[in-house]
Amino acid sequence: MKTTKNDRRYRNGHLPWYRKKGVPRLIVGCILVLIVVLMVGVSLFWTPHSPVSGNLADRLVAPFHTGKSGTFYLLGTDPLGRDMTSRIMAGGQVSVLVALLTVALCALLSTFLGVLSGYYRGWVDSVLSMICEINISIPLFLIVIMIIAIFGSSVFVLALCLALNEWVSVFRQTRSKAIVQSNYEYVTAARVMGANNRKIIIHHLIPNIVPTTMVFSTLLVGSTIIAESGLAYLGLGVSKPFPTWGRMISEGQAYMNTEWWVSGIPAICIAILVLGVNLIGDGLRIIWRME
Amino acid sequence: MGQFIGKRLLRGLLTIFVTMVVVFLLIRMAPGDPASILAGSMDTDEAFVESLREEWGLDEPILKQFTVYVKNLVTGNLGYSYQYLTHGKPNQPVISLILQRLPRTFILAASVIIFSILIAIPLGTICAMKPGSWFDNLTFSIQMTITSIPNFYIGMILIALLAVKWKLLPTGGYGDFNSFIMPMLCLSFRYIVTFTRTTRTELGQILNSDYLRTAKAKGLSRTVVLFKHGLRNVLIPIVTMIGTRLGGLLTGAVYVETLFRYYGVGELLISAISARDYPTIQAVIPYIAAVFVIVNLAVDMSYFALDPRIRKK
Repeated sequence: MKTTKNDRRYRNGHLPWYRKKGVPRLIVGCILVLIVVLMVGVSLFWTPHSPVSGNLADRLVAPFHTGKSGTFYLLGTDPLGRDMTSRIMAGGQVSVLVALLTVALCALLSTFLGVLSGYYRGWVDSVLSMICEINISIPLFLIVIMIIAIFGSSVFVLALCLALNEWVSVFRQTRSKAIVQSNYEYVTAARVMGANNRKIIIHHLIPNIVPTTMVFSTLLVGSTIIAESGLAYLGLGVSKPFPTWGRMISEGQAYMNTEWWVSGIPAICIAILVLGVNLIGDGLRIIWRME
Repeated sequence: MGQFIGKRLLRGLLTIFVTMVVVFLLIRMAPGDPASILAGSMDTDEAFVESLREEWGLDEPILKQFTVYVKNLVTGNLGYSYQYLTHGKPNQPVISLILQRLPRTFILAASVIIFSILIAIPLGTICAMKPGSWFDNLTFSIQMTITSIPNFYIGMILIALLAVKWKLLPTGGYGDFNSFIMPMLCLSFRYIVTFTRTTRTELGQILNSDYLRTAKAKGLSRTVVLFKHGLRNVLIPIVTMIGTRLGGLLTGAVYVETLFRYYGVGELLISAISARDYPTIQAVIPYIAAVFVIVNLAVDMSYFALDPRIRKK
């Protein structure tokens, strides 16, 4: 008999939080992200060596080895003798900043527009849905490349472009959630009790939509980091004050077969961060039971 | 059906129009004189910039300029690309570049989709039939790993191993079949993951549905149940996927073509951007948008073939 499994009390939603299904993923994800964020955070104040200038005598020292000058390098050095550990730590700053900024923009935009569109419907909804349709069917990434090529790439331009590229996927979710929520009785009840539209939206709809925004925005962080590294690889990323991980991968391309760590370590860092964020998003999705 | 296609076509035209407006405005919003921007990185003498100004009608009112731009796009009179010079003069018409490059990217994209579907459907089917098995878990872990690594790094690993170390394939280029394998393989990884996941979730739901139990209860063989009742219904979400993932596929093609020196339209665009070759840029993007519209229309039409319920409506 499968009744116990389908019994209401035993469903994921009714378990204590530590026994819910998505929790292991959430914890592993948090640990991975925390490692990277701590590493990047520390680099704001301290790095073992200088990330921008190196010792040419210690070119391409392997990880866990000591260079000719007698300095120990945890993650080795690059072709110009710069310490990889410091470069990785400092290089993460832009990646993390761009990802956070992009996702914050996406989340704000899509919550606000999603609620407007789902609550008021009518012409607002039609216009926004049409913008969505066009957004999907245009090769938007090419336009993003063009914007960066014309206006140069600062952290803000990059974040704005990536947000432009990705907000639609969150907007669709928040919109459909807003439609479902605004048809519930509690919204009608609030209106009967004299709440105006603004009050309903701020006090009733938005708190109910925040979980959706959180899950789908978290799932965007990964693709944003990958997209940023890709732009950096194409030479369209931010390169000041420090090279980003994507740029470092492309710098190490010539050394792939002999000195794998020059491009391998930044790639591993990207992978750890993206994996961590995706696990968090996936875990939250399972815990809050969203499909 | 006619009405449906007409509606979609109209929306497609609107999409192309919006793309053209955006590209047109972006170039004119750029800091500096449009003519010197269009002339790009060339050592421009004043006469050349002047001739460009005339060609693109840059001293005309902005609406007139836009009609000239549209007219040029439609008639294929797109000017010359400024990155290929002979004796310091541009000699490559943009239209011939596009006609040369677009089919290559199209072939790459089409083979990536076909190859990924051929791999992904069997994989997803095995996972869906035994959810929670070691195979399912292994596939999930591999999926998570692949989605976390940037595509271009996977390509770099492929080059390092297959081309440099084992010397099986050329490192890049365009021409024979051998140099085609790696770009396709590299671009396929992500789509294999996506399509496997879709097949697994969709088929998983279908396998638990009532009509499938009925089919089994009727005494149909396992193969008939799986293929005729199960997998046939998976095709629709997968075809939808192709439509929505087209943008990502093109993005991937930009990286892969640059990495493997596969001279397709993505590589053309990137080299045009780094050479500030604006005539090429402002022509290529609307043409790609047009291809997008056509493929999406094809995806919409294929629903009629795949789903009898839509056909009857």
